[in-house]
Parts: sequence; C-alpha cells; structure tokens
Amino acid sequence: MIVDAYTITDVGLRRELNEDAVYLDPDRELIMVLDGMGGHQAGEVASQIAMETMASFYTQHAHQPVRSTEMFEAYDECFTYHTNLLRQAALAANRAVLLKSLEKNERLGMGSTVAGIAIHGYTVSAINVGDSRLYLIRNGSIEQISRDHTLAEDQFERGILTREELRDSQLKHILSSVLGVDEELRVHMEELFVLPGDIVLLCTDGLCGVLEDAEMLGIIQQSPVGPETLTRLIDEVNARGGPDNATAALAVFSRDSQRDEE
Amino acid sequence: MFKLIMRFQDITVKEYTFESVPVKIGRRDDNDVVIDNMAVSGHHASVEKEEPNYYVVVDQGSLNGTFINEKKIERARIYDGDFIIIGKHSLKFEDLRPKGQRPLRIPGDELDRPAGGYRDTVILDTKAQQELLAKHAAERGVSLDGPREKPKKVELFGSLTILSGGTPQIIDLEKRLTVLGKSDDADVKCSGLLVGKTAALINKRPNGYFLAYAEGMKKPEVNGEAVTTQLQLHDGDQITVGNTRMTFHLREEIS
Repeated sequence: MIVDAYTITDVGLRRELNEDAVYLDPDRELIMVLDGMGGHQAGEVASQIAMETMASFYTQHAHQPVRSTEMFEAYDECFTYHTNLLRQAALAANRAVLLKSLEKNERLGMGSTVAGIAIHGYTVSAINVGDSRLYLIRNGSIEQISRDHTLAEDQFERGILTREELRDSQLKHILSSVLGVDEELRVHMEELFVLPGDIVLLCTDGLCGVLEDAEMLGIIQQSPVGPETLTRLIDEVNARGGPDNATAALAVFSRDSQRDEE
Repeated sequence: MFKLIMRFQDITVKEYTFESVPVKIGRRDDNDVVIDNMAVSGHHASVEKEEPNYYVVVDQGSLNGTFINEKKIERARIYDGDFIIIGKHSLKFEDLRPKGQRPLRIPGDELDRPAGGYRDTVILDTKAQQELLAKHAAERGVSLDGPREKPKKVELFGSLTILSGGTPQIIDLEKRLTVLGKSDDADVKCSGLLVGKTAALINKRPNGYFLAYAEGMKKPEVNGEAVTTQLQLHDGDQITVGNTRMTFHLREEIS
C-alpha cells in the first residue's frame, strides 16, 4: 500500500497562540494531531511534550526485531503489537506532561488531547485521548473511528443523554480523559484494514467542532486529495469565525501494484 | 446581601454572608473566600453587581474555569439557588434580599455564550467529573445508581471453522484484525498456488465483521464470489482462500 500524507495547522481568528501540534514522520508511518490546553502558554508546552514523547517512544520500539511485552502496563491481546505500542506511547506521554506540569505553578492542570494512527502494510492502528478525532472515509462515506472522551459521551453511554441531545450538550466541552492531568488515563483503541482509495482524516476540535462530518466529507471530495484539500478545510473554518486553533492531517491509501500482485 | 455555602464532597465546609461586593474567590489568602486546592487559581473568580439588581460571577482568567451549574462562564448572572463550581468545590448561592428586590430569572437567559456558540474545552479531575455527571443526571430526573435504560450494546462473537486445506479447527475471531494467508505470522494459515502472504484480512468493527482482499494473485472468495475490495460477513458464509475452505459463524449478544 502506498501512503500519501498531508498536514496543516492554523491559529484561527480568535486566538493569539497556536497550542495545537501535528506530527508526520518521514516514513509516513506515524501521524498525530494534538490539542494542548492550559493558560500562560502551558497548552503549547503540553502538546509539544506529548507529541515528542509519543513519537520517540513509538519509533524506538516499533522496529525492534524482538518484541518484548515487558514495557507494557497493559497488553490487550485483541489488538496488534503496534496498537498496544501506540497506547503505551500515550501512557508515557501522560506521565511526561504530568511531570512537566508540576515544575511550575502556572503549568498545573495543563494537558493535551491526541488522535494518532500508525500504518503497517494493510492495517492501521488508531488511538485517541480527549476530543481530537479520527475519521475513515471509504466509498464516499465518512465514519468516526475515534471515541470522544467527553462528559457528554459518558452520559450517553450511561443512557442519560440521547445521541441527539449530546450534540447540543454543554458537557461535550468537558473532557474526561486528557494527557497530563491524571495518573489514570483512558485511551481508546481501534484497528482497521485499509483499502486502496481509503482516506483517514485526523483533526482537532477546531475543525470538527466547527464543521459537520458531512461538510468535511464534501470539501475533501471536491477534487483529488492534496495539500490544498487541507487549505480548503481551514479556509471554511475561518470563514465561520475561526474560533479555535484548527489542525488536520490526511492519509491517502493507494495500491502498490508492483508489490501487491506478487 | 447574599450567602455562599461551600460544599466539598457532600459536606458543608463553610458558610459566608456578604453585604457588599466585590467578593473575591481563590486560593490565595487575600480572597474573601479562600479555597485551598491546587485546582483553584490564586485569584479565580469574583461576585459583582450589575444594574439594576443583578449579581454576576466573573471568572478572573482561571486555568480550570468557573462554572455556574454545569455551564462554564466568563461572566454571567447568578440567581438564588444556583451553584458556582470551582475545581472540586461548589458554592451554593442564596440571594438574601426580599423576594421583591431579587431579579427574575429570564427564561433562556443564556450564560454569556461566545459568538458562534463555540466554547472553550475544559478539563476537570475525576472527582469533579463524577459530581457534575451525578448532578446533571439528577436534574434530568435520573439516578445514576437506579435501574434505567442504557443504550443497547451488541457484543459480536465471530468464528471460523476450517473445513479443508488446513488443520480442522474452530478459530474464534476475538482480535480486531485476523490475517489469512501463507505468512508464518498469519492467524489462519492458507495454502495454495498464488495465495498471498497476507491474502485476506478480517476486521472486527463495532457494526460487524468485514473481510478484505490484501495481496496475491489469488483473491479470497465468499460464497463463490471473488472479493476484490471488502464485504461484510454474515453467519454461514463460506470463505475460500486458495485450497483452504472455511465457514464463518456469527453470534450476537445484546446487553
């Protein structure tokens, strides 16, 4: 499978700082978007540390010929080694941000969301913490594959809010899991096979909090995906007031005809 | 004149009565209401007055935010019986003026919603989250402990029964991804000419099991039809990869 990937991050029209972060490794194997929070530039620090910690942890262990499971705090046999590794990277980032936040008073309580994918051949490992999202675009439809960690989502699972009520609930702006705030961390994991033509969209809530899923799909499908696809998404967000930092990444999969027919 | 009743984990900690404003709330000692907790900013919020007869709560740029009831606010009017929530603490607001002098709550008096309806994202610690969720549920007349209708969860249990071209056995599809092919790492070993190392993949998703073709000249077949992209598997489907034939079984449990 051939992977093309693009990223964009934009401060928006209402914020002075961009506290989001985005990561794409040169081999297009690991892609992440992060949304940092906290005053006094702490949000920027949180998303940067989380990104660097996750990237170095994952890269260091992903290509080891011998796969040790010793470093895992929890290993879920239903998922591949790489998905477990991605979760462990998030756990490591959680500790790194938490430690950093204890250094200075004004950093206390800072944190970051993350939505990330690791690509291996025909499969994609996906994780998320907080309300940054992952979408799979396949055969002209868009499907959210991340799970929001918000109080609104929690109330939905408990049967207190319906899907419709959830959309307008103020509780959707309160995160129930964030990197760097608590020693306990909830990480949502997902795994997919990918097909030629599939697109994975990663974004922070500065994008998916402003545009509906169908609107993002419409913009992405206007023409073949390239860097300008992301520019169009951001332009639309800013045309609607650009309330927050907005960050997005796209991974586009196509068949490697030489290899696949072997 | 108003009263603030500070509560922490269902215990009333302290009651304050104020005749004049502003009333400052925060972690430092120079506040009128001191909350000694790291989740609270030095100068977190204040209660002030607004013409003609409103009391308002103003967030002082705090890190973790100020809430009235469950809404995060920058500046908002507060009425008798409302709760100011700061970190893990709640402050019940009681307007002590005679009823005729108190403002009436304007229905739909939206708390300072920023233009465009966009709100800052907020982080709360676990305890504060649980309190907010319980309170939110109570307002909706639902008890978190009592029986109620949860959204139905469907658990999927798929399996493959190998019929021929491999060791006869039943393989439970518990993993999110199951690899079928010639590779030594494959979960289901398949034999035959032109079968790829990763000939096919089965993906367990929330809405079912899906089979996709991955690589190799020989495409997998489901019920005699070659699969070139992907399809959803149904109970009883016959899968063929090269010489290996198997049956897919699906059991659903609703909880």
